[in-house]
Amino acid sequence: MELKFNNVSKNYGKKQALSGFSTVMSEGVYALLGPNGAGKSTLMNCLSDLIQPSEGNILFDGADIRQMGARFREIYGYMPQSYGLYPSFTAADTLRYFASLKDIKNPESVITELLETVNLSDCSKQRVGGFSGGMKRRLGIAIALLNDPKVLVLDEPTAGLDPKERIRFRNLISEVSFNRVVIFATHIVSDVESIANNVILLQNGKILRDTDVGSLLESMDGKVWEADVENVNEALGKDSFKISNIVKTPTGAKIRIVSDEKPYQNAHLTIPNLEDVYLYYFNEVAAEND
Amino acid sequence: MFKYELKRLLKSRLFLILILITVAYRGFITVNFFKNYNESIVYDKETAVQINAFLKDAESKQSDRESLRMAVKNAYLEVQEKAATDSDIRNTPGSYGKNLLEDWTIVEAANERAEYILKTYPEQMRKNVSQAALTVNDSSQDAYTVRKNQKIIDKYNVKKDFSLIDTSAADNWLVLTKSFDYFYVFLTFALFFLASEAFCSERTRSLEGLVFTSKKGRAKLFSSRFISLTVIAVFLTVIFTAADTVSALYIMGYRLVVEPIQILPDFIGCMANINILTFIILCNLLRFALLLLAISLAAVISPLLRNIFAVSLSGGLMLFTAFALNIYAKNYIVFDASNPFTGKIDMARYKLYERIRIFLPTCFSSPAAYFEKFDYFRLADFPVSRIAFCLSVTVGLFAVFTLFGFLRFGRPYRFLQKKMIRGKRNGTEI
Repeated sequence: MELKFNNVSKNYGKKQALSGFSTVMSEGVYALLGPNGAGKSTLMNCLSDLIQPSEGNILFDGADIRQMGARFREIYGYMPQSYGLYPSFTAADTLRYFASLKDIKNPESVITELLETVNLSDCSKQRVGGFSGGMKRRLGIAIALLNDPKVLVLDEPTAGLDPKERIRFRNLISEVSFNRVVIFATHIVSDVESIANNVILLQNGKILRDTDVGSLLESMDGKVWEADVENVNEALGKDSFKISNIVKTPTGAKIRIVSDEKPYQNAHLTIPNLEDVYLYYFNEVAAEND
Repeated sequence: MFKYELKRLLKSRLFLILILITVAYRGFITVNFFKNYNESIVYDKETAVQINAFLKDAESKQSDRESLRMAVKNAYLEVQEKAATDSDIRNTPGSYGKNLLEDWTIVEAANERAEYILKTYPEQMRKNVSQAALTVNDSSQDAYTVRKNQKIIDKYNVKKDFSLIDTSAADNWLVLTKSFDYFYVFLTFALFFLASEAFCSERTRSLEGLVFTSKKGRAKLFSSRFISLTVIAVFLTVIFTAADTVSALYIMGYRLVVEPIQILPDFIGCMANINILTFIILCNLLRFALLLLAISLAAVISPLLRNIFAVSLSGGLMLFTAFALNIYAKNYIVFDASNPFTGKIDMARYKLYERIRIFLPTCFSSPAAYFEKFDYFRLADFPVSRIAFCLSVTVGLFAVFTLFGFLRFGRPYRFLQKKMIRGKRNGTEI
């Protein structure tokens, strides 16, 4: 199974939302990481055939997905960043409705199984209007999984969820990721660390890095430092390095620094994490939540 | 799918609000009519029975229609003469009613009916046919005039078997029927707004991503949504046809309802071979065509504007303009402000009305006008029925709107994108 992005670009008038995006994906979990406006949702909309790329194409096992049409949608599952549901429908009715749209014959057993998977069995007869944000998200992933997709796309799946729901959701994504291409867009670094095998860093519509998590962290070796400083304000005022974390101590503060060069005499190298990667590439502190 | 779409529509707040307003509006018109019904009727039911008994009795005694007409007329003249010489007509016992005054009322109405059914209507038809025949045989006439007159002969040279019965109740029924014209204007708007909400619901609820990435998303959703709205339109049409029939039966009685529509003087020029019940059904079918057009209008605008308010506003303005034009032109008789019983025809409006009835589907909100006279217009050298042409226009628009709506449903981005790419090629920005 291969999903190939071939020089995909998308312009909105003069604004280039996506520029020459090329990569090849096979089974596994891919995280699209980037700040707001990086082009993550545009890429997903292109993949979902909701918008047409200005240039390039996307191939699934060698066939253009636009030409595949319904054949591609048959093996495609998508959960958008934000979506509404019909409040008067129950969870089971909502799944039946989408099962019909996805042309699934005899959907009842699939629906029961999915409600179990997303832990909504007890609420199957409850109206969706009364669901919490997390429950709606879980129902959203159940909708995306109804047709047992080979390509599963999740746009900001954990946005707006409380920590408990986020953990539950991450586990859910890990559970369902077997034997599929799972792509999820996020600007929340901890999600990537927990579930992704591969990371694509996007900024201004362009790929900054496209690699696996281990390699990405390896590339940061020798660039992440920790140092004890007396004057935090003085450290913050320096432009030559980026501070990813500050912990106050009795004598001043312990700061975590991302820098190509040793920032202080007393600084020592430490193990990089994805937050450091985010800071290094995007020059802003990664979001823990939104 | 269809089941869920219908369920969703029927449970929507907008539907409930519109249904409440519809019931209240219809109820208001009906209650208001029947509140004043006893004051507005020409005769009470008992007198109508007496008139019909008199006519039946006269009919049984005469072998041919002319003798019958003369017998009724003589009876009327006789009672009139008696009444003229009697100083106390209320206390003088009558032959047909309780007193001479009742006799007068009965024979006057009977005579009026007999005159219309036995003389006025057949003479008018004979006149139409004989004049048309002269033109058809005139070689100096152009092809259109000959064809038109041939059509007149075909349409009016048909014998109508009227029963000799009292039709005064029909006047009230016609008043009620026409008072519903604005109701159907409202109903068209209501269904259009409901359809706009339905076709924009993915956008309104941010469901585009979930719905349009489904295998059969667009086609299946559009068809089931369209069918659901059509089912609602069918349901409304059936309900209001039934209501119209029940009120017609209540006001006129079964005997009159199954009479040819031409028995009513308002429809003396009607060339369709239909009875009053068929007329009620046809009127509602024409209104149904208008409702379907309103649904397809919502379907075609929704992918372009995508926002329920923009769709409702733009489509609502289109419908409003079309209805306003119809209402303005329809009222071509301008009544004198000081005397509401006298009026004159505004020829400019009348001509406008004759033109718009050819192509403007909103004219189906008051369909009776299509049945009142020989209603053909000139198209090249051929006389073409206004109702048939307007119905064809409506069906054509419906088909184009539905097809375009179907092709564009859920694909607004592509439409905008094509504009964008075109703009880029031309060096302009969108």
